[in-house]
Amino acid sequence: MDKDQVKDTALSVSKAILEGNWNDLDNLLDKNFTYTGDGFVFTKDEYIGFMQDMKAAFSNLKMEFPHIVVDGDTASIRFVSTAVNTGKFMGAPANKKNLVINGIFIRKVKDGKVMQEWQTTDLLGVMKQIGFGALFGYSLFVGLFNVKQARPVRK
Amino acid sequence: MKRNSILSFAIIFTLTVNTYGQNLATLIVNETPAPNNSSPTYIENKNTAMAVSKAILEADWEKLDNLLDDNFTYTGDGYVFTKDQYIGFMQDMRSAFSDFEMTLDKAVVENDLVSIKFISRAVNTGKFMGAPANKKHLEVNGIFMRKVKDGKVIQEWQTTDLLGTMTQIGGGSLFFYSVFVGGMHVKTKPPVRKPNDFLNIDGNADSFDKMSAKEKNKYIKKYKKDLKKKA
Repeated sequence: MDKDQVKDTALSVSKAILEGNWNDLDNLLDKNFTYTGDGFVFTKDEYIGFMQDMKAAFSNLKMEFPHIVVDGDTASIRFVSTAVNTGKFMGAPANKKNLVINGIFIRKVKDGKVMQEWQTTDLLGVMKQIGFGALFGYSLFVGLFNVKQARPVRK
Repeated sequence: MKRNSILSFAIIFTLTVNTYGQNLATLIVNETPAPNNSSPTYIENKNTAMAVSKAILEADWEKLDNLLDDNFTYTGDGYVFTKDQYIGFMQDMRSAFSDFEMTLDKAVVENDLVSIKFISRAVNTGKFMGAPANKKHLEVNGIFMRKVKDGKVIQEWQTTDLLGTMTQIGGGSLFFYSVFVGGMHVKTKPPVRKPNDFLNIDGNADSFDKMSAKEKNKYIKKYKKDLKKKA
């Protein structure tokens, strides 16, 4: 695969998520796809489930990709997402705030499909923007009660 | 036989206790081969980007200074740092964590950009980012992108799983942080750069790394106090 194909496949995953096109997303991910990011390890179905939950909880979701680095079969992409949090997400209630979410993901591509993804997102920054309530709630929830979040379920 | 096993257990136990938080910092690089048709700057830029991490791990602030352009900026995890603030932040981090082990892998290089996925493992033995030391073994995952020009890094973007780190540190720190930053709208102070001999007792950080947590914190306190006196 040439560089453009690796780049296009990696970006198509984000496009499918933004459009809520779960069929396309399904086709773009290898059946043994794994995601490792922000303390989570997801299978293909859990990843799609997580993205479905995210898409449902955020309105006016937009993504920009200021830096795209392609090397062999791997693309590392920096993204800036903007969205309004209109639904419950990751244990926090909706707050209708405009959020800016920064992150970097690395996607490994083979034969037009994404095999693996690693990602870090500035979740602490997101929680700061959501406000005191979310961070306070999260700290009580996860920190003090050691409650584990439920695995995302694919719809 | 029984006596021997008790004895060896005692030795292992003593060694473990003595070496806890007192190991030298180590950098592990999982080399990925450069593609055949890569440009001559490919390896050069990758090495420059990796040298920044190496300098931080070795607490070689002079080398770090030389590797960063004067107009260097860092954007990561809600912060924007100048060159001096970045060095100050790394000095604070290096001083607050012991048994530092950093693994660099998945180097993705194209033109002037180098992106690297890393895992840092360390014991939090000092105060850091408003949270008190907890002596816990932490694992911090992150990805950075460094932009290189003429052998110097001119810009860096990074995201670290800080929420994961705070969760590992425990409810206390996250709770404290939520009240501090969220509830009172307090901004954390920008990090301050210390002179190049910070943590370098005999010309390098080895002696510092071998200290106990108590000795380390005493050294940092004294260093900062002396610095204030000089100013």
